[in-house]
Amino acid sequence: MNTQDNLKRHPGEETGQDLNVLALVCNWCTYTAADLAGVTRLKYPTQVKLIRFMCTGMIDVRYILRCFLEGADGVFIGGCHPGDCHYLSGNLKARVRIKGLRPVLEMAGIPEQRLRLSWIGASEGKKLQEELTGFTSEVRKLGPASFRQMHLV
Amino acid sequence: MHNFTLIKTKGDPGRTVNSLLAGLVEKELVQGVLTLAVGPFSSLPMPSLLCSIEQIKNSSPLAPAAGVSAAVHAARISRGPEKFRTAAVLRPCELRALVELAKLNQARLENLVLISMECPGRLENRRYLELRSEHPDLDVDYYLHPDLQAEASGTCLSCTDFIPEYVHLGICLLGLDLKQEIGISWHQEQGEELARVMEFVSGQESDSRRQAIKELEAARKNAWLNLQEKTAQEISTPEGLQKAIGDCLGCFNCQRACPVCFCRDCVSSREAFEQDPEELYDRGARKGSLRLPTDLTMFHLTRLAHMAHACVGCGQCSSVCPSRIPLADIFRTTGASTQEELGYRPGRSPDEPVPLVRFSEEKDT
Repeated sequence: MNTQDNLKRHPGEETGQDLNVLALVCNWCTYTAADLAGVTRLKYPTQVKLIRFMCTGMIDVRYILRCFLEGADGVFIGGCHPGDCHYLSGNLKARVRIKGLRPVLEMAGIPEQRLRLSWIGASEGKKLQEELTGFTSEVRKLGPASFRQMHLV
Repeated sequence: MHNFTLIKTKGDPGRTVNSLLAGLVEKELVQGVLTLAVGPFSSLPMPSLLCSIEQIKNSSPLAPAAGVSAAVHAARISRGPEKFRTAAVLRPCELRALVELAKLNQARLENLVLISMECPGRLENRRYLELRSEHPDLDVDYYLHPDLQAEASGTCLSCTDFIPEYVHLGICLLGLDLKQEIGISWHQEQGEELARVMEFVSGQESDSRRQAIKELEAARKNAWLNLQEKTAQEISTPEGLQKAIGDCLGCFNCQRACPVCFCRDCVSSREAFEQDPEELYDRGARKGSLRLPTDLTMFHLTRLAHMAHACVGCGQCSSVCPSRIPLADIFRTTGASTQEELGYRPGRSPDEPVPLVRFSEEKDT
């Protein structure tokens, strides 16, 4: 695609989606739950894009910041219930990191409802559907994130 | 506080502190002193490692300047073997930064005698040099004239942590007639030991001193709350943040000057940040244009995310910014919420672990 064609594109145009919700999920629980949801034909919003991580403990805060600065309207993080981490404490590390990140998002003008951390076990396909549906509708209420169109420094 | 004594100053409180520091070396309690000193070619006091008694007696421990944060240098000097024991004279913010560095294994506090002072604030380097040409005795006059203290950096004027906490010897300056006397307080086992060797006699603190501390606390708190509110209001929107950092050149001075930003190889300065021309064109095409250098919002937010919990509020980031971005205001305001959220106060004590390693199944921090 040449530059001028590229310029005419609008965010979401290629997918026909009004929202971009990124779900950064743990391989051992939430991703497996998504598999289960698929097998049992449970639907979740098509605006959600799942990105699989080996553990929520490997989600650097920069990944989350990058999602928002590149125009994500919401970032969902799904990990194992406390005590169930495949690597013992990755989910707990993710939790304390996100706790510390929230004031930074606030300073950047990103409402805290745009970032959600949930614990979803491998067998909780139904919970995955509910959480992603609920989160997406909450993000929709906030509207598109302003970083999407903004020329950032 | 009862571990407190008064020392006669004979007009120059700085010289009194010098004699005290020289005493530490003469009694072989330390091998050297890290404090501010003026060199032969500039009037700007810079942190210096002083080994000779003569040099120590000519140093400027109370000079209201901090050309750079001395914390990183104290940390570096302390990493040596035990035969190098150093007395480090630090501002309260530098002391807090040093304690943070010690938690991250960047400093060995057992090699240091920690000395700090009640800090009315530091002048920006440029302002220090200007005022010094008008007041040759600036280092003394500064403590006697409130109008000179009002010239301190904006960060200092809204700093509420002006009394050192994790310290062995404290230099007490508030509410005293410094032409006559200064106070010395001592803390912790090391402080007690030093007081014994230096033969300090415990005395009473006056009410006027307590009153002066209270008054300064109230004024500073007021200024800080105003600054915090203003920063939260003006900056914490997507547009507000962009306006605030809009002039950023990407020089990374703020990161280098930050005493607690300790990585030797910063993630922001690594090659991973570099993009090939195709990627730049792709990003430019998406929004029609791309400001260069790219990703400075990402840089500042990353620094906030990494360091806000440890921000000691020294203001060096603002001081070194060529574009005068109010970085310290942004950092301190964000840091205040992060620190409250995590129940953490940076620099309080080396025994308090950094919040990111305090996690448990039940709850964090």
